[in-house]
Amino acid sequence: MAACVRQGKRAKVILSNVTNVYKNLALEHWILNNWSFSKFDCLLIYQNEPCVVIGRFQNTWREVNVNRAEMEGVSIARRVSGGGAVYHDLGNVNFSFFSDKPSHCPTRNLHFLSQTLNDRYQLLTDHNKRHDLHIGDKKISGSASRLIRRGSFHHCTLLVNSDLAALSGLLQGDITLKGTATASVPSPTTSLLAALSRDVIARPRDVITPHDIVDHVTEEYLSLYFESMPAMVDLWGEDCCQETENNVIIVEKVPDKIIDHHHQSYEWIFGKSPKFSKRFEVDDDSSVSVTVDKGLIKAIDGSESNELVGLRYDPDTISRSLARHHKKDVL
Amino acid sequence: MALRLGSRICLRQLYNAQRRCLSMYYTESHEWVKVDGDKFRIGITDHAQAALGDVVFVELPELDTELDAGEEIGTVESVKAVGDVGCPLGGIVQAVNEQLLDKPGIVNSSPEDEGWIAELELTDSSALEDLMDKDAYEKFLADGA
Repeated sequence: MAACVRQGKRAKVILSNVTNVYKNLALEHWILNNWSFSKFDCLLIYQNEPCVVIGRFQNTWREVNVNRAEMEGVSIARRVSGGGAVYHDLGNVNFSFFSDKPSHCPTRNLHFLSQTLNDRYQLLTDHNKRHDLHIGDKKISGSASRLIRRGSFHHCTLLVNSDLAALSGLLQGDITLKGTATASVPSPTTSLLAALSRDVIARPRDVITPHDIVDHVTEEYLSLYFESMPAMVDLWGEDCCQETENNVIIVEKVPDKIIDHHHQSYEWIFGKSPKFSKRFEVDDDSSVSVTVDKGLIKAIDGSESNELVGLRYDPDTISRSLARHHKKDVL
Repeated sequence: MALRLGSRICLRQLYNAQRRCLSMYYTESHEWVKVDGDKFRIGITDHAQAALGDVVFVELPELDTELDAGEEIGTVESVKAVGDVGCPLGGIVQAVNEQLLDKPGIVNSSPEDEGWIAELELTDSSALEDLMDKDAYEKFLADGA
């Protein structure tokens, strides 16, 4: 499928030099909610320090090894789009394509990315019906989208040289949890550099870095359009961003007014996990069912009068409390 | 002048009262609303479910939530995207379709009947006159909505 050339339409590229996942997600969400895309499309590119990002209706504990993330200082974030859990580090690049709803087309965006990478680095990337980018049978990118009344974004990761061992370790949550949350679909995953070293591509190249990819994708994206949007003078203040000669906005600091502290809260990251239950083994022949809603313990075996009810869900605390009470009952 | 203004207000009230007794109405963002006296039900249209693809999760509103016309009442996740559901009229949530929690696919198989999302007590019907009836909605779709 040929990429569409947007004759007569303008584009804006924003490169974020901020690497905090909460701030980048806030920036992305703010752009969606506050700009109208009837006259221009927008591409936001950002990278994050190590973090796990789950989809809007996922169960945090089911998707993420929460204890390991906490121990390793890996942030957990919940995005407003759907799809499954992904791992970001500075070996990954995120692309967020904004447009009005009629122009929303993840397939076109992924075709553009795939062609751009293949042409520049002689790779054999391709995209599939699930909106994954892949090399051979391994996935190098996952996608998700968010639609609102007057706009949309499609965003995707691109694993360039990410720590794949960390990725697989952190994305192993508690699969015994029972509920209606959207589950991730496990897929064999690789990065561009890892794929290179296994010679599964046409011709290996040396210089594939996030920085080079960002520069090249920016240039190719702008070439699809009639012209870049003119400078947005004083958009967020000189201490937050600058515009380059070709009107690309470089964000050095996400303005305070954009940062949504609610999206860094327990209520959002954990509490938006749809209602679920977990069975805790108390001894060899008895177990207790714990129901959790909005991230708080709602009932123990159907009863709301247990001392744990109302507390934040923490499996270790629950196990210890149940063991203590079981011991008392036995004695 | 005052008499003519009074007549216009009367006619508008009559028009809205008639609309409240009739059936389905549609929004440009592809929600439907079925009004029944002082209650109404909402959901997404067949066009919306087809565009979204397989629905995998529906976030329902809390009971007793009060909404103005146009406010977001729920969210739907499909295999393709997460999208908002707007509330076409002003109301207070009285019931939600809990079937959708375990079987979100009902929104695909029966979007304008069993796939209803919420039922509300009508508090503000003024937006009703801006909604489309079935013929107008079908023309809206044919014109490339």
